[in-house]
Amino acid sequence: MLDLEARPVREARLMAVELDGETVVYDPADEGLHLLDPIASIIWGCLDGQVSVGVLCEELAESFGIPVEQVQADVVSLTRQLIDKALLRVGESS
Amino acid sequence: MTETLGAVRFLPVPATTCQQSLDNWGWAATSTFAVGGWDLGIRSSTAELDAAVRALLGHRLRPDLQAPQNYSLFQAPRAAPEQPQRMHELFQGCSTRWRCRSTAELVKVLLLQLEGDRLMEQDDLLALTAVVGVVDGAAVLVPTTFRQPFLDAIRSLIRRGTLLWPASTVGLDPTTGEVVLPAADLEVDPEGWRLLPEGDGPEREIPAPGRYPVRIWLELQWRRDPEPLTRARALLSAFEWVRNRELVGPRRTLAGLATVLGSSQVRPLLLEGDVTAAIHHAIEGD
Repeated sequence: MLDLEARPVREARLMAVELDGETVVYDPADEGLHLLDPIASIIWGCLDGQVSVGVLCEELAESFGIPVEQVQADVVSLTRQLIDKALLRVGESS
Repeated sequence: MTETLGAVRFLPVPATTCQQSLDNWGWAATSTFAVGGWDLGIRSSTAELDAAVRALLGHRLRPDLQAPQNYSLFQAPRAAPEQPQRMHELFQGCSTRWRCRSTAELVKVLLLQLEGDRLMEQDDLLALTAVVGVVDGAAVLVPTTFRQPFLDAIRSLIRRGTLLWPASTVGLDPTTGEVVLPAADLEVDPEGWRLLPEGDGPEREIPAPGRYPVRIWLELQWRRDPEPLTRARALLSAFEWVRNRELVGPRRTLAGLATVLGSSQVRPLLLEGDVTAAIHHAIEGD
């Protein structure tokens, strides 16, 4: 379960490079590569264990001029996918 | 560069039907040589060719070892004196790496190919399996083992100013983003050249060894991909073609590929229809 107070953090073992807004992530655990599109790259790049999903949604909604409810649905869905792929882990809630 | 001359290290050749088919061609001998930390088997279709290779690389010969047939040199017989020399072929495993009418060129290309294998032992360059062409002092690079369409197009490529690099592994400098075409620095006994037939065919021009900026990065596509080709997608597929990525490390491999791709034009090369025309179009652009 992922709530808006959660503070996911990028797995420290991962290696990544960014090209034209997309990110290629290498996971040494399974030697797998993952391609993050520009939106996923922003979310993955921002989730550093310090910022909560809710605060990130508010910042993205303000930046892109989109209703925060819409941003929350997309960000939560994407964050779950990144957690499922072991590219993020959930830190402690505040 | 380190080389282990004492231990035995073979590069296995997969037992495919393609390999079995090539095995049925007429072969005279296979000799084993220590190159770049590997013991490589080089198979020749004639005893004279095997003798020449053994003479050239004599100090690397491992007479007591029988390695897999990593490379095969097929010297095409001449049908009649008045007819043009048929194509000799260099195979890596069962894949054609080069075709030419000159036996000397065939052996020189083998030496460049062996130089590419030695790149696997270096950690300052990415050893990338790729087809590389040089045009106007810059490189066109296609990460792949599939050289056939480019060999089929080689005459028209040369006519239009693109010289094809004959070896299948090239270096990528992860710092500068340049492609490095290594000279054949293997020490050879020049007497071996005298054992090769003379005048069987003209040698084809190839690019000068050296460093070239990568101007165009082509991504082979077997069918139209609905997703647009991006630099990141090209990096994703190129990663597996870096043969020494364990030695270099994944972080430097990723960063090196990103450096090259970041300064290159990335274009798809769709292998359907008139493939030669598609290659020209991909190189020359719209």
